[in-house]
Amino acid sequence: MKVRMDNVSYRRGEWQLTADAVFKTGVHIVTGRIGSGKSTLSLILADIIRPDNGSINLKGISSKTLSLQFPEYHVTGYTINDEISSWKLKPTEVLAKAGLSGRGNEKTLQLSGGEMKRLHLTCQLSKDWDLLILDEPFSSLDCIQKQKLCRELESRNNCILIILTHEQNILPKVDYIWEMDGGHLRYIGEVAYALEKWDGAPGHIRHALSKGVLPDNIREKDAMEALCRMQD
Amino acid sequence: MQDARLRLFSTLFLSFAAFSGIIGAFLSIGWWLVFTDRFKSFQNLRLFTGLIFMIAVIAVITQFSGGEGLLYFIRMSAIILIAGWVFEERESGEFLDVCTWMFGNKKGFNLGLVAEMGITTIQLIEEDIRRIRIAMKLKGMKWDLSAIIPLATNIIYNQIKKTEEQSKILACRGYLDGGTLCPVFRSTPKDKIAFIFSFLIFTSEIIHLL
Repeated sequence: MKVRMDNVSYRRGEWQLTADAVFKTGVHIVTGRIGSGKSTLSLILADIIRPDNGSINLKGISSKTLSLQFPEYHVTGYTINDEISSWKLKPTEVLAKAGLSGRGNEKTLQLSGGEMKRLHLTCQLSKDWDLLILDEPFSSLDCIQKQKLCRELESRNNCILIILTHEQNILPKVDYIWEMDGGHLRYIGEVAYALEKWDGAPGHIRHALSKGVLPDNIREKDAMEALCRMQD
Repeated sequence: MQDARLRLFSTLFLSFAAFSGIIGAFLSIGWWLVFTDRFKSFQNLRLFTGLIFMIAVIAVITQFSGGEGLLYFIRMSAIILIAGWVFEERESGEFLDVCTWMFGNKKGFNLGLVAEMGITTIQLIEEDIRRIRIAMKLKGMKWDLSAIIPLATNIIYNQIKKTEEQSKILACRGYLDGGTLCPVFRSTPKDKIAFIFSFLIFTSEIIHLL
């Protein structure tokens, strides 16, 4: 499976997004400042907006989806039960997984931001996708939920998972690192070779690197382990 | 047309003329052709085409059931063209300026505020519909009656929620009744000529009716 972006460009007024990339099977993280173009990139990858130039080729991908940053943008069902059914899922199971048991008849839009995000991610991650694009999946979630989501994402094999985020603390184990900088998508590399070149690396990674150690991955746990190894 | 006052009055004159009779409708279309950027100013041509299509369907039904379908189509098309032009030319805060200028800082300000909030709501609904279409595409849903009812309910519910938030913001900022505003308008010679012609069309239609 492969997603190939050839000379893709998209202009919005003075601002322009450019991307020339290949996303292979595995977990990709795309970081970048707010307004750098992560959400626009996710919309282009999901075929929601068409680029002005270039092409996107999906090889071996039969199902794809995008999780938008704001969960309310996904809502089409009036009650929570309707919303779950709109994903063609069984409400009872999803409600239990999302920690919303017994609340199926409540209005979806009456849920808090965190609850709605939980519901939405539970629905979306209840299915298998070949290409799964998650735009800011950690926003509105508390630490426990973020960690739970990381475990869920790490368990996804045999798909292309693209996570676009500016989360700096709780992150999943990834395979490839990318960076959006002023609208330009830059490939930093495979995680083992990319950490030192990664401008937007989280604080814990930068701290470990400053101490002369190289973590195995991007999680806080990886940085801690690397630092402990150094002390041994 | 830069002057919001002239644009408002031109719209009222032309809409009245177009609705009153076929000559007024033709003259209004002529005015639209001469004094506006025509379709260049239309951001949402699909919406315009959809409205014209709906009118055309009603016109055909009216014509075949013995009514004046063609005349209805021409008159309504003229009104839609003028409405489309005025909606696209509108700038944020204009209604507040015009209403305050017309009716003063109390009633005018309140009226203008309501109008501005109404226009903002229309834009938000447009945005909601765009997002719902994306959500439906992602879920592989199709537009049918069973989907439209909950979607419409959600849009209304969303708007009520946003209105409630807006009223809280106004209350927090100390809004009680009216406000102070000193609107400034700029009129170009072209604006004035366009306005005079719209008034002439309106007057000719009134004379014709009498």
